[in-house]
Amino acid sequence: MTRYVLRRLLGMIPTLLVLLFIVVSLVRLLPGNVVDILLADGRATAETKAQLAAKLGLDQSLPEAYVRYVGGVIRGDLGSSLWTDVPVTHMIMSRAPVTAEVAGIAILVSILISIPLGVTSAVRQDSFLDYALRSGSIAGISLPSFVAAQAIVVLPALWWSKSIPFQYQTFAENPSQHLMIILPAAFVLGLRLSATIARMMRTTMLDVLQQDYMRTARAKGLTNFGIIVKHGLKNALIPVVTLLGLQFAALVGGSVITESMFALPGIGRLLLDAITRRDYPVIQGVVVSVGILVMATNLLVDLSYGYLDPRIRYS
Amino acid sequence: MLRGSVLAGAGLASAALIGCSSGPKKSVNDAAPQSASTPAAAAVAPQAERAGMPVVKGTPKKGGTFTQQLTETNVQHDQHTAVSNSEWMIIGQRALELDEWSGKLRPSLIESWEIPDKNTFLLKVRKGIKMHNRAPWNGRDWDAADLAWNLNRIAGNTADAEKLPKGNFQRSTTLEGISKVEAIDATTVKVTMAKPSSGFLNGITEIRNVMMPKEIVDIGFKDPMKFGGMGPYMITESQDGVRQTYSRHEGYWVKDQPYFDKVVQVAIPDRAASLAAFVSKQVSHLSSPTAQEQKTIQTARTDALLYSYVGVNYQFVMFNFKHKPFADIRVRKALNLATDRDEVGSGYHGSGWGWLAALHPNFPEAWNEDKVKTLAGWNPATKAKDREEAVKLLSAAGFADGDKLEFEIMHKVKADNRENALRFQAQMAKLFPKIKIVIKAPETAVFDKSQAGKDFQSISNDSTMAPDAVLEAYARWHSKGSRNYGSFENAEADALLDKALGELDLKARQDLLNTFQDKWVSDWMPHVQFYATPTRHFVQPNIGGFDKAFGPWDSGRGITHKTNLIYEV
Repeated sequence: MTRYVLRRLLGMIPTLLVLLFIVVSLVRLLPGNVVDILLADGRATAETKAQLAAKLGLDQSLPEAYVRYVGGVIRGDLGSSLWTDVPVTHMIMSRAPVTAEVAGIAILVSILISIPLGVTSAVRQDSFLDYALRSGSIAGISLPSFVAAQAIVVLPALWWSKSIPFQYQTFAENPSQHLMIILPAAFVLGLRLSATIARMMRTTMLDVLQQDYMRTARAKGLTNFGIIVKHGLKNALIPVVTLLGLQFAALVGGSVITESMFALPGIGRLLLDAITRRDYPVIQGVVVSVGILVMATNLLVDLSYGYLDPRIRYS
Repeated sequence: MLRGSVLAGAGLASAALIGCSSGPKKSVNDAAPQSASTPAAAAVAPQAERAGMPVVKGTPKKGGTFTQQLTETNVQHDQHTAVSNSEWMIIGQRALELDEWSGKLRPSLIESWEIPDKNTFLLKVRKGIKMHNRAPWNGRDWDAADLAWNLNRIAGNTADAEKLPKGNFQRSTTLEGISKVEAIDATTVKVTMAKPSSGFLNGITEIRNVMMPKEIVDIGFKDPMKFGGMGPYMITESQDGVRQTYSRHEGYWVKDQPYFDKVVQVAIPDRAASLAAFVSKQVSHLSSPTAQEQKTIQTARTDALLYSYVGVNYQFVMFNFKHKPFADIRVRKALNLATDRDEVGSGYHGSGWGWLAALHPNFPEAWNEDKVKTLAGWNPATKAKDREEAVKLLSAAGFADGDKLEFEIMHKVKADNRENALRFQAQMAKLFPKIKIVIKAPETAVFDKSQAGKDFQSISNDSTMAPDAVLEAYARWHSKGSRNYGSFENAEADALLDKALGELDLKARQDLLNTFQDKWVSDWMPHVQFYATPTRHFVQPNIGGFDKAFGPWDSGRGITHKTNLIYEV
């Protein structure tokens, strides 16, 4: 197990190096230029622009920029914002808790909704309830997050002049206001995810229900509930856990829209603002951080297989 | 779009000030003739006649919170190098301002001025301006040394000492021509110009030329919580991406101001969410509603106050003369004659927009609406005839029915720019069935780069006018103009503008501008001018003072700098 983990961690290094190369290259391929934006109101000459570009370190060649950036990442230094000069690590650390909280609650919401629905749908296969739940999950998958977010934010305002509070407060500052913003945002993110997982849960559960060991359990006289929860659910969860891991990156992507709609100061908004402003170090820092997080999540997902199915061995 | 750099070359109009010995009443703006129908003239009318401006009755009360929505918390914290606004707009103040309705110079931190000779300004700083009561200022007087430091820094003269590129000082052109700035005593600053500049005082009024204390460079610009100014509010909270909070400066130099205890700037990036925040009374104000948003809000909140007036922006399609067809006046004229401005302006805004030929109607020197509406291409009554003429002109230029005439219109990701482009495209396609107009909407960074690099065929955009008609025209249509992105070059236009900039006699200056406007419409047409943009604000019904604090000359930079003038009733 330890050797497996170490090998996986070592395997991440080339992946990370490739990711860093892609990130450093891609931000330089973005059309538009931070210097033009920063000097938008000045009558800047080419010389002035070159001067600023040099000051910001934008005159480096791609290999030079890559080597410097990799060196920085090894030291834990992701550079500083071209606009505010604030260290990127500081910016990410200050925004990450909000995104982590929303994503965490979203995953919880999606699990709480999707697993009972998926299992019920499988157990009641081809019944009216099954059709209704499947239709509901297709609707959930089809509904873009921003539509659900707009409905939650705007419609109550138009109908009753009420809406969610737009001034974010930490839980310590104001617990009720905090939850009144975080929970709807997490619900919006989790809704779409739960629809996807419910469909996967139904499919895998249907497969498990037809296995010999399930028939044996029934023959032993176990209750239906006990069979499904104890023997069926655990075995059906492996693909669902894989899907959850894969959806994690999508959750961070979805947070760009959700955090804008709900005025949440998270990573998604940080990334969006950085792209708009061509704040290259911030874009790079966020993408690299999310990339590392996704790799770590995948490792955790792989490790969870051993718990869910004892037949799986790590070597 | 931005006012600052249009003042480049301001010096030439300087002589308009020469002979004005002192005081706030002497300026080009004061002396310039005003057309009866311009908003500037309307400024002298009683408030009740300011159409579209509700007046909230009741006694202003001290206290309460004004909550302002911003798309993001302030990103850049050094106002002199910031592209746009910063917290200094509220914790600092401008040294001179423009009257919101007349556009006349209004004393602020500078109480009065003298012009002893054509190259010298003596600026008198108001006595008793107190800094915020926090270290290291501890309520000290903001004085002439601070003013001198600010003027030098805005002009970019401290760039080398601070090891910053001079280009970082975005508004340096607003104070162009400064040779030396020195505080000669605690309340007097002597400014020596390298060449005469009538634009100098107006340049100081640029909305982002906010004054700071001279110690701030040593303190640095990373942490807003360390900032202190002389403005109406002190910063008390700054959470990146969430909000910034300000409390009343008890030592503020204007008696009884400000009114609110607190001002909160809350970051709500999404427009629909901002609308919801206003409707649910979580923010005090919503700026620039579209026609659709206006209907939505007025349905949901019948008590919301809507303030509307022709602001300082105007909308147009700018031709790039490097794109060959646009070098032919017949093509430009045909497109101008074919354009139905009424349909474009009313289509997006409904009512409230202003008719516009060469110059923005807020300028006293600009042709007024009555005159503009008689021009070929503008006159709604002769539109059919003008369009017949347009067809003939385009055919004569070798593009019968628009055949082989192809161009792109690039616009910013802004609803008004987009809709104007679409309406223009539809109008042209209807009249010239074979014309090919492609509309492109690159994101802002790409748009800015293409515009600055003159890498476009045409642009649908809007612009904020300079505080002077000649400066505006110079920036846009002089071959050396800082905003002449379309590379329009005409020796006669250059000569007229050079002469107008240096013209001392206001009547002669007006004559030159009349000739310029004539030529612009008959011979040049470097733009298709659509309309002067209406400025609109929704305000909660318990907030007063907007009718005085906001008007055609409020600079179109939001409301941050006016929070000292508004109040709860």
